[in-house]
Amino acid sequence: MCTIGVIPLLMAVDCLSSAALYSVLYFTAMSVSSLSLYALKNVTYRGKYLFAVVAAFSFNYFIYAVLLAGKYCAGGSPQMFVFISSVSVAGIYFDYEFKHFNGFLDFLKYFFIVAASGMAMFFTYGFLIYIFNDKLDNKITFFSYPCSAIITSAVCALLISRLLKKMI
Amino acid sequence: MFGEYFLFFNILLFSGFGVEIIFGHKRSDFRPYFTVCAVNSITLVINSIAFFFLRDLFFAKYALKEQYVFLMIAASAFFLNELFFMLLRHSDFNIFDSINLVSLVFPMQLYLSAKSAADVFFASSGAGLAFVMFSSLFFYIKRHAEDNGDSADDFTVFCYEMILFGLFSASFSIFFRVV
Repeated sequence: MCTIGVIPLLMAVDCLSSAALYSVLYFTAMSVSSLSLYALKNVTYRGKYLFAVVAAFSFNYFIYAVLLAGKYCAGGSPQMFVFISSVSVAGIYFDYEFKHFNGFLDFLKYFFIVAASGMAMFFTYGFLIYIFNDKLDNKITFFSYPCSAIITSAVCALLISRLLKKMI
Repeated sequence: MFGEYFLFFNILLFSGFGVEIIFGHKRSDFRPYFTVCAVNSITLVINSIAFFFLRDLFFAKYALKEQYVFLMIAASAFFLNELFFMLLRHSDFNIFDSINLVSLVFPMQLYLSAKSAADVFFASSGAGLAFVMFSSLFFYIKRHAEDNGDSADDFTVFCYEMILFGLFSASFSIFFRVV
């Protein structure tokens, strides 16, 4: 779920600072969505998912409009990607996992693993673009196409899952 | 990188291996899965057309900003999906059925970029149809690959993998052709 949520946003990244921007938006949306749903975990009405998206959008738009917009390189069509980032696939998916968690600390542990994995993907992709675009003089490269985002996220997901299996 | 057809491609590809996993999660029956995909496609078309008309009639007149329109699109997508589920007596629910990227982001993209009503109609219908088709194909192939994974020989599984790669290739070809 973490990988699926990252892919649409990864396509907007075109440098290191846009990687940082979208990783912040990804983290905020995930935090707000999952915490909203954690607070509403006893509610069965599906309208709580709409509430989670609206809450995440409010925070994301505030970050984009007040703190980050116009100050840094923000990738392609940043306003559109602020909308996309509000629908946090990973954040909403936590609602399915709440019944498997053993208390709030267990939730926090998984939350930070997912957040760190997502942010690692953003920075890996941003760093790859930073290295290769400089050497190729900003010509259209492999990283100009969305398939590069999908392949990078898939490779990162494989490596991270193997690393986590060894660590945990 | 961010072309006019970016979200067409994104929806084609995402519907293939992203939404299929989300919608198909813990679902072995095809009917509820297909209902969810079809309902979301219809909502996508209705939302796109309705908000495009509202843009000129209402939002521009009262200078309503995009962020408020996004919130209205989200609410509209949720309630339309729920209404259709109720009419179709859908009962096998997953968490992403009522609110997801398909019925929410694509209408917003068209709201921001489309120039005429005909553009909106054709773009949203194409995306909706592609979404249903690709999702159904991926669900069918994945389920058959899973069913045959234990019982069938390696060659059968290999054939299913080839079909999946073919679909990926088709998605990429469409993207490179239009961009």
